[in-house]
Amino acid sequence: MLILTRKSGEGIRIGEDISVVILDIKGNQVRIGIDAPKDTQVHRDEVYEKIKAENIKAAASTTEHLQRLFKVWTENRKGS
Amino acid sequence: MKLYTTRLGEIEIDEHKIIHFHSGLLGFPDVKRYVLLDNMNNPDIPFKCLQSVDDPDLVFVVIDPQLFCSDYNSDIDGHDLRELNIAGLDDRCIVVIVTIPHDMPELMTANLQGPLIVNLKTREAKQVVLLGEKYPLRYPVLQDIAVPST
Repeated sequence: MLILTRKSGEGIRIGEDISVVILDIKGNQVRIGIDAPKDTQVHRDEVYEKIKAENIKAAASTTEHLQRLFKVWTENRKGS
Repeated sequence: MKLYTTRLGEIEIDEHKIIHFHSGLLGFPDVKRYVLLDNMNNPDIPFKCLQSVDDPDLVFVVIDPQLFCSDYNSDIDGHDLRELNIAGLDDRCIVVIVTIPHDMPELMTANLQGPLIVNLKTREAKQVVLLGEKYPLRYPVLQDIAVPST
């Protein structure tokens, strides 16, 4: 891993079109500004990992799950 | 064109309706082409299947979040729509992915934190991540529908 030391207001350029700027440092929190092309996804690590894990879980549904889901749905609608 | 799928069998799809996720979905960055299948033999069921065109195994169950969160779409409209060059509200379709627990389908949850936004004109789409705490990763879908809101 490349490690660079930056001060508040200084930045880093990644390739041609991504720039990262340190906006503010307070105690153990750093505010970072990121300029990147719109097709580059930028997410907080933990949020990204959670949604990724949920997508993987959702994709594991089988045909049987789908049918049961539809059955539960239909019964639920009738009951309400 | 004909598309062979593991879960839904062989289906006929309109090539012009293929949706392109340029960055894929989170966790599936290399799978970029999907079709949204509306009618699963029963028009009363609001679920749709987002089937990968390139991976017969990969299918997501999705649902219109407005069915249980009436403010949802208006909360997203804004910068995420501009990002996909969506001009008018008629040009976009927003769905969320449903996770179905293996043994208890009634505990299904919808991922309101990472909706899928489709530009219906260009057929380009993106999974976006909503900031803030308002919309959870696992929203219990049936809970609100079973109990009519007063």
